[in-house]
Formats: sequence, structure tokens, C-alpha cells
Amino acid sequence: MEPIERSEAAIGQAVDVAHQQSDAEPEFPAELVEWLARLRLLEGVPFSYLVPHEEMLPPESIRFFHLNRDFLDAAVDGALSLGGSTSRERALLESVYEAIRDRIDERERMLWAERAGLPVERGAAETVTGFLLRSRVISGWPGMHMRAYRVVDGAEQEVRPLRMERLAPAVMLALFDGVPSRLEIEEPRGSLQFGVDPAGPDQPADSRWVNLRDPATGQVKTGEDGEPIQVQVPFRPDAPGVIDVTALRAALVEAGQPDLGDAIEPAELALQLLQYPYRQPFGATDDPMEDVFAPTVDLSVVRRSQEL
Amino acid sequence: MADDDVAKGQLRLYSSVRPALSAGSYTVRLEQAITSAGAIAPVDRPMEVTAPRFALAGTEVQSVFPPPNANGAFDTRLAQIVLRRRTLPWERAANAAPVATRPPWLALVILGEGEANFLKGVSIADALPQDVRAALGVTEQGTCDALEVSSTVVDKAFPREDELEALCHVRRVNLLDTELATGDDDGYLSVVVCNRLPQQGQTYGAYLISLEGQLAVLPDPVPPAPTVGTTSVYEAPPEVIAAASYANTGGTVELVDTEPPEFLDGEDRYKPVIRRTSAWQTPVTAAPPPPPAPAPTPSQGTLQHATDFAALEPEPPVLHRFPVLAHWQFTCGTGGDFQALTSNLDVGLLGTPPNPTHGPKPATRLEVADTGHTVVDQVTWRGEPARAWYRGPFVPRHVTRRAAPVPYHVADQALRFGADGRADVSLAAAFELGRLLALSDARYAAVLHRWRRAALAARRVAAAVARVPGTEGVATDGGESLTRTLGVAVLAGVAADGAAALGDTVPPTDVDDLLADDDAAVIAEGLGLPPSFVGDVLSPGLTQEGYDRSRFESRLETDFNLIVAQKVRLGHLGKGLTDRVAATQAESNPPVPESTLQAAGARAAAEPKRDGDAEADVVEQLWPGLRARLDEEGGRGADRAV
Repeated sequence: MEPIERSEAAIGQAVDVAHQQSDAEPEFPAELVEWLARLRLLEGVPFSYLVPHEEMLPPESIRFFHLNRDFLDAAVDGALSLGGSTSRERALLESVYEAIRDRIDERERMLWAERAGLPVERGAAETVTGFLLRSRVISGWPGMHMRAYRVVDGAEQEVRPLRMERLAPAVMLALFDGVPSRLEIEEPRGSLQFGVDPAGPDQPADSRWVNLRDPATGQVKTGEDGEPIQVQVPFRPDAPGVIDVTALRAALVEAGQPDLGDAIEPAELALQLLQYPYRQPFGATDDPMEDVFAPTVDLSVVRRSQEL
Repeated sequence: MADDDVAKGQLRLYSSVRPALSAGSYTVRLEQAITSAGAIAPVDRPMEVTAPRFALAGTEVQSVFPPPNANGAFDTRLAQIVLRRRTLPWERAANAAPVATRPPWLALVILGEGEANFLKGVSIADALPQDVRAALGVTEQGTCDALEVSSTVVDKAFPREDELEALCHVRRVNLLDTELATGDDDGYLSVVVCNRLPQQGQTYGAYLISLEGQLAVLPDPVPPAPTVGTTSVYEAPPEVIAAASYANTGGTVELVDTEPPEFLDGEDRYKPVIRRTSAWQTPVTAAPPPPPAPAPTPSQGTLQHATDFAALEPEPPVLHRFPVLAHWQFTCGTGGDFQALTSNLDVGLLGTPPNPTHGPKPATRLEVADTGHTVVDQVTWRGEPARAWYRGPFVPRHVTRRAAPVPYHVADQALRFGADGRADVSLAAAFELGRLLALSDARYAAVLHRWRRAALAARRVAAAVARVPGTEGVATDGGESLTRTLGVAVLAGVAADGAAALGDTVPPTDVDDLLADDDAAVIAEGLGLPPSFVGDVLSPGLTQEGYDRSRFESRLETDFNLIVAQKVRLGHLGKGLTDRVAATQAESNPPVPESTLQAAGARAAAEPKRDGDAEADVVEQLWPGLRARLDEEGGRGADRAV
């Protein structure tokens, strides 16, 4: 056979084989999109990639950050490059890459919504921000509530979390879908708690205090100086921290005139002793960037050569 | 009870919810008088209102605080237990007062190390003193848990009788409020609060005890003091308390050490064997008890409430027992509560060095550039240690995403270099990370490979079909081989439409515009081809418009001067003449200028004709004309310079 005839036969054979394998071009599998979306949310990524130095997350600290999408895109590229060493496979990947990337963007946003049972918002994820918290509160108070808010059109709106996980007993990672202006960390609510307040800086160390509340509104009453009215807690003498409840009731009645009346009911006493879960806010600051983040290595040369 | 519902996020507190009937045995008497007939004998039926007395089902407890086995800063919080039944603390009679005014019969106490003796699974006869049982008319058999404490503990740690009512209340929440209701079924919960604050660094056991018929035991009122007070009931050194906890001889828990210490694997270690027996086994007096354990550190785990009060009090103590309905343990740790910890966090963007006031000074100084890059150690591919820039997925500033959707194929494509010569390995490390994570998942690799193979096959088919002309609309599915199907379709198209089925015809080109007058002759001479052949090629035939053949009628020039001046007019003969001249020059020594064609031509003509010399034959054919001219000019040939 002439060479041209031989190659013709070979081409025909290859085409037939290919035809038997598939008719229409298959879409990129949803299973892989899911896997890559979870990679985008940094699942399975070793901690040393996230925080290369221990001092970047010292004990009892919280560090905020933006998510670097270039890093994640490169990781996704690495996962997609598996087994594609010839130019043919690379050309195939380049032809479908943009469509794959859009699908992963969308899936990434839906992942947390599905896990948390929230309504799904379609669309690619916006700027993703987050924080790393390393503190004893994470191991001591499991089930802490964390909420982020931002102002949209004058109204405050909650920023959806994309991932919230304890990476270690004392390290928590959270990713948010957007740039929040305020973050709140709240004690786990569980059941309501009753208790007293510790002594302030100018009070005796072994005294305890109760902030007086208005029984009508439940809010803490403030005196003329704007400070909450406090009642010192009476204890049983020679006893280990046992509160003299009857004396406490009398003291509350005395301090709370005329709202509390002559005597305080058990329900009102419970109201006075109520301790709401503490909520710690973190807010955005108007300070310029140079005051908020100061590099320790000043290489303006590096800045020119890097893409920002 | 208020009729309006509680709104979501709100709660309503009640001082008490008293049952209409307290627990006990009742007799229901039914009487009916009929006016016309006689009276009917009344009917008595016994009825019993039950309530938990010595045990509480686990489902009755909604939640407890502090959580069981928790370790946290609870030193400003009062322990509490939340019960599902709103009337439970008031269902039984603590004393003889009527239902509307009597105090609750439940109390919650927390007791630390060395302050209690917890008895698990004793018979009810052992849980209550004899006189109390007789007064209450307790007839139940069975077992329950009991708490045994000395009167010192009761005086110091238990609530007073007038405090009992203040420590119980009821709250009502909206059922839909998942955070406050936490799974309640009717929204009403009763709460029993403890009146003792835990101290830091201690483990406590919390007990919900029944005070039925034992209110007289509770302490008397004493004027209050403003300070927190002592750390524990018995202000004794820890080793004394530990000794009291373990060296219990006459009471309920035995320590039996029957085996000598064993040596482990030849090493110089021994482990003492301590075995505990339960309360009703006959005490076995054997070897003396082991030496007291060392001072116990704040126990993070279980607290053994097994105290022999006789060892702690100088005189034989008066002991009291109370049935326990629920119990758990917790540890009050040190380190500040939630508020103290969160309000003192070191806040900053990622990359901010640690605040020196917050913790120990770090060993190495953190190097962070303005873009968020830090310096990491790197081993280059040559094996040399180096330092490189690295920026992880978390950066302090917003980074614009790379717009060009062209993927990296190898990690080295993603390697960048800073102007200072150090490598920037961020994206290359990310690439490798993704690759390694994908490699570790066999399923991912299999699915990717399968997709790739199918996609390439589909594209090959599409490319093949696109190249074959005239096959639009050909059904490509089906069992038949694709190439055969396409071939048949092409043939059918050609049969139907002729050559047009194969595709468009090639548009003709106008050769006449391309060539000028003598260009064809130039082509013929240049290529050394016969002009007839060139004329065939350029004539209309394969192309619709061609070169006029008549222009190929070769008109040979007869004007000798013109030929001499423009040798090209000889056409193809010029080449032959040149060859001839060269041959002649080779024969005669003095080089003959080629331009003197006159002499050359004369010489060539005078030479004997060589056989097979085609060009010579042609010259000969042309020679008569040429010769005639030469003869005419012959005399003047020598002194004519050309």
C-alpha cells in the first residue's frame, strides 16, 4: 500500500475507535467540580501552607485576611494537570478551562449554603475574606457564635460564612463571602446563665457585684454618671462563696427603689442575676492602611516585580 | 398563666408554678343523690398522683450548667439545672405547709473535694434516716443515689430554708426559638439554681437533692459578710483531705490492697494495686492501707466523692443523708472567662508581628513584605539551601485575580523571581499542593482520566466529520463504522450532484494578465523547455482562460545586428551558441570575445559539422540566411567592433 493509503486506513481506524467511545462531548464531571470547589475552600490543605510562620498567628490573637485567588487557581491548575503531559491533553484543558473555572466559582459559593441549610444564592463568590483565631476561648467554649455584618444601602446585612471550622483545638478558621465591616464573637447561648460580676479595678478583689436591672425592660439601670448601678453581693460568713440570698434580695430592693417595690420575687431575682452571653465586636477601622498593616521587611523593589 | 404567647427571642419568668394536686395517694369519692328514688351508695376509688421522689428520669432534665465534665471559667456563674416539668420543684411537700405557700423540695448544691460522700445505688432505706422515712410514710423499695454530708458542710454550703423559694423559678420561651427553647415541647421550663459560687482551680460535683421532710436540717440565718469567703468547707491542707478521701475504714468504701506491688519488665517501677469494693460487701481487713496519695492537683477528670468525715472533724461528726435525683461534675478552671479572653485578643491583619506585650518574645523576627510575602527556607533543585518568598492563600491586602484563563501546566511555569533574585514560590507551591492532593485521591484521578479520554475521542470524531465534504446531516450514530458511513455519504453526494458535492470549484485565474509579450519566451528559455510545451501549459485547457497560443509561433529574428545586439532574440538557440562558443574557446588558446559573433559564427560554420550536435544543426538550418548577411558584411568584419 502506498504510504498515503496506509495513513488513510490508520486515520479511519482511529476515528472508528473514537466514535465507539463516545458520541457527544461529555461535560466536565460534577464530581470533580465538587472536589475542586472544596479545594478552593482549602479543605485538606496543610496548615503550614496557610500560616508559614508560627509568629503569624501568635497565641491569643486574631488575624484577618483576604483570600488570594491566584493561589487557589494555581492549586486547581495543579489538580487538573494530573496525567496531562502531552500537548494534546493540554490543548483540551485550555479549551475548557474557562468554563470549568466559572463552574467551580459557582459551586464554591453554594457549598456552605448547602451544609448550613441556608438558601442558595447563585453567582460566583465575591471577594472572600476571613480570619484565623487562636485562643483558649475556642477550646473552652465550643459552639461559639460568629457573625459578620456589612452595610449595604444603608442597612446592615449579614455576610454569609463560606467555611467555619476548628483546625485545631485552639485554632479556628472562618471564611466569609464578602468584606465585612463588623464581626461579632458571642458566647455559646445554650441555656441562660445566672451569676454575678467580678470586682472592678477599684473594688476589693474578693467582692462580687450585681448590675441592677429595670424589671420592666430588663435593661441594666444606669445612674447619673452613666455607669451601671451595682449592688454588692452579701455572702455567708466563713463559707466558701455561698451567697446569702435573702440578704441579696433585701439589698436589691434597697438599691432599686422605687421600681422594685417592697420585696423581690424569685422571678425578679432571677432576672437580676441573669447574665447575657458576652458578645465581643470587632469593627473595621478608618485608619489608613499604613497604620493598620506595617511590613517588617521594606523592599519596594519586591513590590515592583510582583503583581498585586 | 398568661394567655398570650411569648415572642421569639423573649422569655418570661414566673416565680413558681404550683400544681393543683401535690403528689400522694388520694381517694376519689363519687356521690350522687337522686331526688325521686333513694340515695345511691357512694363509690370510693383510690387515686395516686405520682411524682419523682428518689430518682429522676434522664428525659426530665432539659440541660445543666456548667456542662458536664466541662472545664471553664465558671467562677462568676451559678450552677443551675433546667427541668422540663414546670411544677416539679413544688410537687412534693417539703414541710407541712399548704401547696400555695410551701417551699420547693428540691435544692441544688455543689460540693468540692472532701466535702461529700456520694453513695451510688443504695437502698431507699439507707438513703433517708429512719425518722424521716416514718414521717413521710415511705414504702417504696428499690435503690437510689444518696449524698452523705456532715453538719458542717450543711451549715456552710447548703441553702437556708428561707432561700429555697428564691432559688427556683419557671421560665417560658417560644417553642420556635431554637436557641432558647433547645428542644422543649411546651415552652415551660423550671430552673433550680445553686447559691454557691465555684472557686478557681477546683472540681465540683453538683447534686440535685430532695429535701423532703428534712428542712429542719438546713442552717439558720446568719448575718452576711461582704467577701467571697473561704475556698472550701474544710480549710485543711490538701493532703489531709486526700487522706480523708482514701482512708475510709468504717464507712462505705473500702480500699483493699491484697497483692504485693508488681515489677514491670525488670524495670525499677512498681504499680500499687488498689481495688475498691462496693458498700455491702463485708469489709476485708487485710494489709494496712497504702500511704496517702500526694497532694492532688486540680482534678480535670472524675472527682471521687468518698469522704470520711471522721478524719476531717475532731469529734465524731453528725452525718446527714439526702436522696440525689441528678448529679454531674465540672471543673472551674483558671484563666479568665469569655469576656476577659476575647477583649484581650491581639487583633491585626495576617502578617502583623505579635504584640510583645501579649506573649513571650518570639525567637526569630518575622519578615513580612508589603505584599504579604514572607521568607521561607528553600532547598533549590541543585540541593543548595536558599531563602525564598512565599505568600499563602491568606494575604493582608486584596489581590486582583489573574484574568487570563490559561492554566499552568507545570509548576515551573508558575515560578516567579523577585528583583532581589530570590524565587517567589507561592504559586508553584500551590500548584504542587493541588497536584499532590489530587494524586492522593484515587477516585479523582480515575474520574479525570475517564473524562479526558471521552472528551478527546469525541473531539476526534467531530474533527473527522468536519473535514469530509458534503456530510452535513449524516447520522453518525449507529453500529456501523463511522468511516464507512462517511465514505458512502460522500459517494452518494457525488453521484447526485457531481463534482459540486465535493466542494466548490477552484476559481480560474487569468493568465493573460500575468504575462507580457515576451514573458512566455523568457520562460521557455529560462527553463530550457521547448516553447510548444510551454504553449500547451499556458493555453486554455485546464483553465478557462489561457495564454494565446499564437503568440508562441516563434518568430526568429533575421536581422543580424539585432540578433547580435540582443542575443535573446535567438530564443533557445542562444544557449546552443553559447555552448558552441565555449567549446571553440576551449580548443583555441586565445580567448575569443564572445561578442564577435561574426567571427565565431564563421568559424563554427567553417568547422566540420559534428554529429548529434542539435544546436549545430539548427545553426546550419539558419545559416543560409545568416551567411548571406555575413557575406554581405564580410569585408568589414575584422574592423567592426561590436
